[in-house]
Amino acid sequence: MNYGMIAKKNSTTRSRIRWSADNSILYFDGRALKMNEWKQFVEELISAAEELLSQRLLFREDGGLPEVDLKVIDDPSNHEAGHYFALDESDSWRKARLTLIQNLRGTKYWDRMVDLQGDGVNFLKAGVDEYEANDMKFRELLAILMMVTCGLSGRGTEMTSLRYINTMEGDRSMYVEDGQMMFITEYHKSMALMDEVKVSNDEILN
Amino acid sequence: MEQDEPIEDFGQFKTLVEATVLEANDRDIQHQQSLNKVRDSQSLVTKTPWLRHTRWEEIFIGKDMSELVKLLNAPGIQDHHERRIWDATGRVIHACFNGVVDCQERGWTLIPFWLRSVDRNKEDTKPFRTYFAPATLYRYASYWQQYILFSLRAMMGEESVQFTLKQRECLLELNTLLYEINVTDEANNNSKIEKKILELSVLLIQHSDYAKERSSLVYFTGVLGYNIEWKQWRQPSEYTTILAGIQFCTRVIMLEAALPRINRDGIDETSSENPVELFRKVRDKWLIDGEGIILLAKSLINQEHHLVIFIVC
Repeated sequence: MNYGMIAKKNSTTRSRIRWSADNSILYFDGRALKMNEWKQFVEELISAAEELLSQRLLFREDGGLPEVDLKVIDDPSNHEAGHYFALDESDSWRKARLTLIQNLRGTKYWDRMVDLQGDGVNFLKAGVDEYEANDMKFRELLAILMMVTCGLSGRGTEMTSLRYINTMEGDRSMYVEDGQMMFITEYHKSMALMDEVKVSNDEILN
Repeated sequence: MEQDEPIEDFGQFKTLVEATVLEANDRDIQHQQSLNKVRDSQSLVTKTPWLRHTRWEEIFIGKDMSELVKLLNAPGIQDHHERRIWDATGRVIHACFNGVVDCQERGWTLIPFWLRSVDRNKEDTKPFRTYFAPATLYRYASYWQQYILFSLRAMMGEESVQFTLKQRECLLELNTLLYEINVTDEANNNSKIEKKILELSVLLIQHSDYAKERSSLVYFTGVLGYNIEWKQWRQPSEYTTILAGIQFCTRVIMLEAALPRINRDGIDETSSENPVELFRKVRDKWLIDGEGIILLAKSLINQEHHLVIFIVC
């Protein structure tokens, strides 16, 4: 096995990726990826994610997104389980919930999601399920965007194990750093073999 | 908006929404409180090598760690019985440590080398340290004080902490001693309690891996691995200093068990066994790497940074 590992390191493999002469097309195993189309794909993905977030998750009729100030000071040394940067602002969840219900009330989704009764606001299961499905779809789009726009992507296991919140097992993977979102992965396929934690970080430009 | 809701009054609507949001906030608080409950995660992604090695999530699965951490608390000012145990344990640890210093003073200088070593057949190249900052010594002793109180409290009502029959009997005797106080002879009372604590400590350390009951010391070190302030398992950098303290206590206690200071004056060149031989009889079974005993078996010493990393086995 040792011989094989050294031999592998000292030998090259055939090239699977090459560029066209004008650098506008990437060939991978004989398949072509045009850079113009790739850029368009990313832009469409961003538009789709924003639309989903705005209209189906935040219930904003104008189709826009609320302004988010990323100049927050995230404390990476806060290890408390259940903590993440959004909770730094007191009462943040209460404000967010009130805003969301206020937005929802003026939309066509209100009747599908809410049943007003004398003793309170009851959420209808069908509507909640639909909302959660949209939430899942939005996260999927976000995950793809993170992979295609944040430099070298991690492996599947790394990218699908990102946590936004601290847990009993360990710290969150996402931080706000100097006006940018940063995510840190701590998984590597060799971890199981070598018993060593491998850490890498990527940043999303604001 | 369409006005087809049963309740159309805006003020009433606002009240209902406020009530719903308050209810959601209450659920958040409940969720926060439930974060101390251990759920075993089998995901290799979230289970770091450290957590896989310590197996804390398997050991404490389903337990509310906040309840277990309460068993570690130092006694309150008004809790006189627990305060006696706490103070007496502190005195025992300091006396045991003085036993190491006593070896140096007697010229039994090989003992500290064997005391430090985890190799069955070889003494360490450095002796067991005899100079500690007072705060460090105090902190190290406090771990054992916590352990003795933890055991006493757990025996009363925490079934997940297990004891052998002998350990349980000793704990009961210690508990009984607390109520047999002779007001005219405080020194004698304290001496009896200290002896019982030393006896109990030795019994707790000499817990075989092959006993039916799981070692309470290993369990205790797991509870210490939980940071209640962060509701998170401690990382190696934070935890190993705690293990160093416990290892210190186990070593000085076992030295006292093997070579009681009270008997040392009777040992000379005519004795059938010299002090090193006497000590090694105990040490070779309970304080070394590779025996089927309790913990602290493996130690990795980073010579460059003088950082000792102890791994629970």
